[in-house]
Amino acid sequence: MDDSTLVKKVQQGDMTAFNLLIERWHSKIHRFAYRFFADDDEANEITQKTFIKVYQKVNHLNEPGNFSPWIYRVANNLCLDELKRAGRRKSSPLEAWVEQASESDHNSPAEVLETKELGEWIQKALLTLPDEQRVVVILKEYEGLKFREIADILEEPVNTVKSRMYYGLKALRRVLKQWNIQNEYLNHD
Amino acid sequence: MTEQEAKSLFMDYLYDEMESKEKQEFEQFLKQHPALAEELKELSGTRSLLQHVPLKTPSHKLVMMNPEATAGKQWIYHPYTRAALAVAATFLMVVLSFSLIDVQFGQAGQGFFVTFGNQNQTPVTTEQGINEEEVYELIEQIRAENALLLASVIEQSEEQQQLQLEQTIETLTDYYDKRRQQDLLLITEGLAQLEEETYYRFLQTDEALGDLIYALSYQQTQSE
Repeated sequence: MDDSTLVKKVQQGDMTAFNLLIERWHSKIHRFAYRFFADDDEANEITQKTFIKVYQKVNHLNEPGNFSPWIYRVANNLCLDELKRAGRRKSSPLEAWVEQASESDHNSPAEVLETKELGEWIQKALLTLPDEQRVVVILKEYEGLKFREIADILEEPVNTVKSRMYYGLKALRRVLKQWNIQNEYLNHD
Repeated sequence: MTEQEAKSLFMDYLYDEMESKEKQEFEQFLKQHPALAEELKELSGTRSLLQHVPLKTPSHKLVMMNPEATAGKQWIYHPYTRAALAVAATFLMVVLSFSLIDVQFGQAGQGFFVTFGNQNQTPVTTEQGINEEEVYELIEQIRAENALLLASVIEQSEEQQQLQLEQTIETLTDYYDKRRQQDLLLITEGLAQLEEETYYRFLQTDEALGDLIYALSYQQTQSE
């Protein structure tokens, strides 16, 4: 049964269908929120709020076929609201991370790779991106959406989305280079 | 195709969202422009690195309860119902305990008695009396004890008041000290936030300029 059918059932008051939607989307929304904040508690909270919002607003969704972009949009808006509420404290500026990386002696690139901390550093690098670039990188790279779909979610022109992706990747490369991640990994095909 | 136009196609090529004919033309162009090919390779490398982020799965399962399904059992959770159930359970436990230990209440001679266990034994009572002189002695003794008790209570009360006063002064001092530290912290945080916002605006300006250049070059590509 596809999302569209489930949404129609939920709109008719079928709670079992809603639980099926939750089961299907829980991991995706949690993953999206986790990439956004790099914090499990925050991701859980955003996921929970997203489904509450979906439950409250699903009757206003005129085209059930558009559920996928709609739920991502809800999650993204909640993430941005949370950032505003927290006064942007959850999005660390580049300088802070660079400073932290340079102060840390035991995090040389080789050790980073050996101890499998590379993923954590990349997650930190993601946090240095401006919010509008970070969300595009997450949706493209980790959710595997097309540029057209991301544009629908963010309600932005496709070219703007591509531009944000381009500058996002460039910024990530710059940050990772500043953290001395070796060229051989950055140039890996 | 200019270099700017080629750059505008980088993302389409990198994520394989390009028509095959367009892709071939783009690859031909890259062969003639090694600098662009190098930049694309760098972007591709960064992209590969992004896949090293570990997969995070939710730590618990979400389930939406159906309000209608639980509506019939709501009376169980009402505070009065729960209190009544608790009282009934306590009463049952007391009755059960008494029956297990053979408790028996009764009246015998000069007062009441309570027995446990074997009920065949009659309660033992002792007769005891006091004369008038002993009564006076007892009253005097009680008075003396009351006086001592009163003095002790007054003394304890004074000590307690003194202690409370000291604690209040100490708490007040701590409060003002913490308040001062919090004020200093707020000022520091305010300055840090200002610095952070200034940096973020710089980034936004950079990105806006980037968007503009990107859009212009894309329009040129489309017009040609």
